[in-house]
Amino acid sequence: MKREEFDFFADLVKRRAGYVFAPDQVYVIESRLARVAQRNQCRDPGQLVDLVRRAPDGDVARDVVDALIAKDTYFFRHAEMFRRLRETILPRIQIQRTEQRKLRVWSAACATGQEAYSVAMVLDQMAIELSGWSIDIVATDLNRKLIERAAVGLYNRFEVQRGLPVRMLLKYFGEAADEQWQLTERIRDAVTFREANLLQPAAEMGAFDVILCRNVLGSFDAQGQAATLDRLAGTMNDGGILILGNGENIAGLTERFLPFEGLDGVYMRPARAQRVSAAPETPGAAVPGASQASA
Amino acid sequence: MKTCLVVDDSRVVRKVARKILEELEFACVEAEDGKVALDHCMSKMPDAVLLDWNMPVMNGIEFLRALRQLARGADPKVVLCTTENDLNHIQEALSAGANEYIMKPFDSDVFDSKLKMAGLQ
Repeated sequence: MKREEFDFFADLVKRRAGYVFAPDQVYVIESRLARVAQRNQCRDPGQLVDLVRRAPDGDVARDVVDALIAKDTYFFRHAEMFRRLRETILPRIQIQRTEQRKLRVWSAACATGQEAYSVAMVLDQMAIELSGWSIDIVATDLNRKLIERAAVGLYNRFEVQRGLPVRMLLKYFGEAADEQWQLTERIRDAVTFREANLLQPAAEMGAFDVILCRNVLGSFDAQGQAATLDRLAGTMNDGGILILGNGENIAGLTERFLPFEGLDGVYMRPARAQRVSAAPETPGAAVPGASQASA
Repeated sequence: MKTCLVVDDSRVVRKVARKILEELEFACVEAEDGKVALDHCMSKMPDAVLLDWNMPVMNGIEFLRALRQLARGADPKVVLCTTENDLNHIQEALSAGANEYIMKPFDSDVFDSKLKMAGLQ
């Protein structure tokens, strides 16, 4: 791939999805676009560039972006985090929202939906504690095809064996055609999938108590990370919890969250009164200009 | 070092499983059917058993039921690894005392994930 072709694709995916590719990641772009090029009978990357230039809002351009932001996901990814969700985070939210008896969870950049459905299974196991509560799980992704696939809740043999204990498979899945497994209707219906771009305002989705935004921010540059964190903070209820991926943190990016109970990658959006006093103590004070509007 | 008993009538499968398990720092012992595996467990109980279903002499489920009757037979984590991939077989395996279940064919991600779920990593 020529340098100008790399620059073209890197610029496209940065503008459309916020993803940043370093100059030494030519091979990543090449390998991720190989199938797109093949599907469109392109003999070289230059032909794919031409197709996208001719129709910047067309299907090929969308396919290119989708391929470049592809994300690996599986059920109960980082099982320890789901244990903490069940044992620490959700009980805390339950106390905070006792009056409203309403719990809203957002799985951002959900890809094929395993994360959102894992949350649905966790909440299903809390059905007695949450009896009478209104529970809303929203899962979003930029890739429309993945969203459509996720909503069906069909997974192949490999997918249902990664991260999913066999007893959970028996409880929450049924056998489907072509050696696939489908989530029960109850779990499928618990999650609402919709297309959404993390680069764009999300206020119309309402306020959430828990947001999972895992293994996404690392693909953005610092400015994109700070802006995204700011948007996420704007869609959270007071005391809401933000869960990032393993090894991800907000140091130097925003002052709108506080670390939560010493859990790595877990942050709380403090209530208004807390924000004023607690912000200066946030570890890794925000870099100049990175923090967005005040909380 | 934990020990894993690999029970499969296919020498190739045993060899592949041994290679992966040794990389995960298990000491491996092999058995070509359930009877040989049971004899081994009676003399030395392993920490884990990777178990095929269909084998001559004594199949995987017969072995598993007999294993769970032995003194300390409840201790090993048993992972069924089989081409019997339907709901009924999975239910039967769990009822017999399996801790986890791998549907063949599988890849290294699945193998790794299942060992973790069985508490073996």
